[in-house]
Amino acid sequence: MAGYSVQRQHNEFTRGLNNGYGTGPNYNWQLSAGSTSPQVSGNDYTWTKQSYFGQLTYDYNQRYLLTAAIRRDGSSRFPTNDRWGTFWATSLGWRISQEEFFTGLTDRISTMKLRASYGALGNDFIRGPYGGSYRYQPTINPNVNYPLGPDQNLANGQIQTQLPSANIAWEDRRTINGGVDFGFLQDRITLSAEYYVSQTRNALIDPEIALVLGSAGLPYQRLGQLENRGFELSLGYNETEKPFKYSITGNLTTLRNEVTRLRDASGQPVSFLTYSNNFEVTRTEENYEIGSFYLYQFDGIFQQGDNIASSAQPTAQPGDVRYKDLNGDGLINESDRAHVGRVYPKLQYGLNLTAGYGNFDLAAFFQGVTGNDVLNATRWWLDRMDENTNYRRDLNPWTPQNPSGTTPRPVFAGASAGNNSRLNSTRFLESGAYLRLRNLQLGYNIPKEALAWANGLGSVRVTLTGQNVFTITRYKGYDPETVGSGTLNERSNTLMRGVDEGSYPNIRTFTLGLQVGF
Amino acid sequence: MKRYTLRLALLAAGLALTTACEKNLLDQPNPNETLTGNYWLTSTDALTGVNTTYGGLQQLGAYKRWLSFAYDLRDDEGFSNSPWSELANFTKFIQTNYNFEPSRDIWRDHYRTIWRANQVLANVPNITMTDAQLKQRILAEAYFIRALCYFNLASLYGRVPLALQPSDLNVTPPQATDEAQVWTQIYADLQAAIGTDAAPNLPVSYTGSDLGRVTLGAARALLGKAYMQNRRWTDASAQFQRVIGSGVYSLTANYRDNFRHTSENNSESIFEVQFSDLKLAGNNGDIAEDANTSEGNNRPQFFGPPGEGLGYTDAEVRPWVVTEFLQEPTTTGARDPRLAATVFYNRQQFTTALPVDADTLVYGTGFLTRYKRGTANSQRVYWRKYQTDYYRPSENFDSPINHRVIRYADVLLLQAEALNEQGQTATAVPLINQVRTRAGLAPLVAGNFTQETLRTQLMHERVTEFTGEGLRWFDLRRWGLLDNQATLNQLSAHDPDFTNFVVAQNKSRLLPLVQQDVDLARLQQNPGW
Repeated sequence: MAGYSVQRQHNEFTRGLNNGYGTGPNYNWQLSAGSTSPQVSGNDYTWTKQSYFGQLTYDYNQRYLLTAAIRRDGSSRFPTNDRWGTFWATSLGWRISQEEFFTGLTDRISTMKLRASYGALGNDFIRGPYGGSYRYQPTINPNVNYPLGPDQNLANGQIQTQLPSANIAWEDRRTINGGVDFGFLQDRITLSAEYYVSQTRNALIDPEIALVLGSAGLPYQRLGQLENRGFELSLGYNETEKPFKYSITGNLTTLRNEVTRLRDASGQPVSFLTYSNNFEVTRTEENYEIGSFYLYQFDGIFQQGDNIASSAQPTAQPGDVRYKDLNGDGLINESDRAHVGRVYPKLQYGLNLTAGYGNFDLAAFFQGVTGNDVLNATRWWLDRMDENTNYRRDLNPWTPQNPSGTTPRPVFAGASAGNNSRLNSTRFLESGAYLRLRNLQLGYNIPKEALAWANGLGSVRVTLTGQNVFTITRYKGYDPETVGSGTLNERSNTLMRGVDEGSYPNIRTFTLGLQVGF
Repeated sequence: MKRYTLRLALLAAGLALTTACEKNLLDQPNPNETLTGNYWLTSTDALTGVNTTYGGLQQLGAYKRWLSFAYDLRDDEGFSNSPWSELANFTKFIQTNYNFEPSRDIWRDHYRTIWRANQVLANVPNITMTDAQLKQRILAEAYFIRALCYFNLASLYGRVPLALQPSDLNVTPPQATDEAQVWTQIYADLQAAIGTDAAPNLPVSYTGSDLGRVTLGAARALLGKAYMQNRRWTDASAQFQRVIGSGVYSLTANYRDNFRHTSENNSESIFEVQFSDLKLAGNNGDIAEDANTSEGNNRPQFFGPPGEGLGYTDAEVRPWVVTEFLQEPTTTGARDPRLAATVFYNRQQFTTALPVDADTLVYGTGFLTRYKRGTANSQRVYWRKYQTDYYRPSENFDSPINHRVIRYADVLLLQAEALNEQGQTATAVPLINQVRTRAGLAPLVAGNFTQETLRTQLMHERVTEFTGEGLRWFDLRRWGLLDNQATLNQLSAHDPDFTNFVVAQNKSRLLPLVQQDVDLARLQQNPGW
């Protein structure tokens, strides 16, 4: 198969805004009836994409399988010399169980397959003004105005206020994997194992840049190389022959994320910083996870009788948070922060159960992760101890009579000690592990005989479905699963994957269903 | 049995080739904005270019909001009881988060302005302009604004990076070797703005739609102020002498004309940042600049006294300031009129024989009617200077009052100080008397003062004249009051926030450099932080 495609997207936008249309009850809908000075805005943008692609599939006697694909993509989002990227993919499979020498074994081993694949894809999606269409072009901001003269009329000002994304080009996402699939006893038992390495090269990211550059926008850069690697295992048992039919399928995935290269044009290592509540919360650097937490280390609460004067926080009082003086300089400051915790789960697992007997059937799907941490930035607002209007109902702060080891003393809003408890520390870092019954369905098919009286009624099925039925977790925020959720590829999402700023939780639903066939 | 399945396909012959037609398809120039390569061609470009450098001074981290916190509240005249602990602590020399928003905004917005000035300075010389005078003036305006930015940066952060070329993502501007290098750059920029005596680059004044631009007097006055901060009295005097001798400036008859939007760019004004309520934008000054960006000042909203629609009262005044005004009556036996122009205060809280003055209403309501006797609010002293109570009943985020960066009274008192420091005490006194007379106070008699007592007198005069105008912090630095524990103890008596001030390594004299740039621009952090 071969193909050629062209995409062109054109957007036009115009807006007129006014306020002050009176208090009713009758309003004049003419825009100019508003009493404030009208605001207008509008723009026009276009992006285009052009692709050639081809694919080859080869299947020899259902034994040897080969596919190969190649594509060449051009994008108007990139500078002239970096517009085109070529990406290819291939996969190989060998169904050993179809070989003649295997025939003696098929009673026991019904399926055996080896497979391997390599694939690369390009990404040109970037955000920004005008749909991200012109980020590489340095332009002049047409309205940086200033009132001058006795009447302070606006004098027009125009200048470049944002650095362009001058060196952007296709981001290259490659995945290589190899695996084996087994089926035993007429495929009643299935086993599949796979090892994968996926790399993103020349990752398009718009990190914070030095403020001294004075840019009002953050240019995209092609700086990073990052890698996900892990092992996937799936094991299932399927009983379909007996009256009591059931299946169990379990799967495990391990994940190791690492930024393997993050350097600027001159080869110097660089860092991406992200902020929550004005505090740096994650720092992405070579040899760490993307969006790795970068925090002060919570070291308990100063108790009465502690030798505070000789600590690194000599002005602290009992009830204040103690932080680890990591560099041992007798001060707690920005140099006492460190990479800590783990953003991506070490292990993700799922368990799918189905059972059927007679007219009843049951399906359940469990899902969970373990080995990751979440920075509960929402709790920061409630447990920062100097905010006297918002706090948790069950807040149990330190007092001389109640010497808590985990929650500091409350202080007045505006008090100097307010700085102590609000640092971006591991006090707000929690385990993100959870096990959730994601889906549960119980079904009953009403027997045909019972429906015989009704003419034309074919089948009736009743189901009761629950989603997110229960969650076992120690995480104190809304939902450990939706943490860091956001629009795909958004900077904050990628670099703040483990930060929960109050993402909307999954909802628990129960549904009673009736399915009637005529 | 063998089965072959072969689905194949070849890429079109032109796979690797892109024809001219295809190239055009992917060529999408931005139709909304001018490419930088098509700008900086005409004198209009030069003019609109330099206008943005003024716009930079209106930003949140400049005169719109945070400089008032960094100057007026960190000194001993003002303080903050903000429920935003971090903000209150910022004014008390306690800062754990070196990226704290006001500090980061001040840093960021000054460098944004500097980038604009650098673009003007790099591009305008290449423009062919028929009006050579205009070209010189535009460059001089950019030099002045860059100098003003570094003047603030050096005073707040000390050893800052010197960005002198248009920004390039791959080039990090180098950090100055020491604070002195930053001051040297400020002198150089201001001298470039001034030009020569025979051919100055700036006009002495403007008319019409150019009113509000940088004048020759402004550049000289700022250069004098820069010399003053470095105790170069002779150099400072020379500049101030030119400003005074120019005959352009005079004190306004009414002191309050300096803090109202109805009397802006007046005879006393040397440089103002223009603000206007032309665009009501509310609390969104942080967004990128566009046609709808507010041109207003946030200060009255944050500094305003408590009350429905008045202010957040993130800032208030230490009571000793009031006492300073009450030390001396006017020649008619009244209270110094500058007191009621500067603060809202409870007249019954301060013991004095001076008669009550009439103008003490708080947004139209008597102080003790608004803040009932005995309540905590009735014991506080609130900011009035730059509040808009003289013309409206409530505050918003878009005050139209220009910020007076340099006014003639400051030049007069600084010149008096420079002369006194050079031993010319008698020559200094008449300059002080100009300022005193406008306020209705009796002139000082030159014979009554030694160099030392006039120094003390000037400290008093500057409090009564300038409280709340962002000058006290410079005064404290210049007078060396931040350099040793003995004088700090005196400041602590005025303002207990100074008990947190760390003299060692000059720590609290400077803000910590913004951590983001310590990390990303590889800066050396200020000592002690």
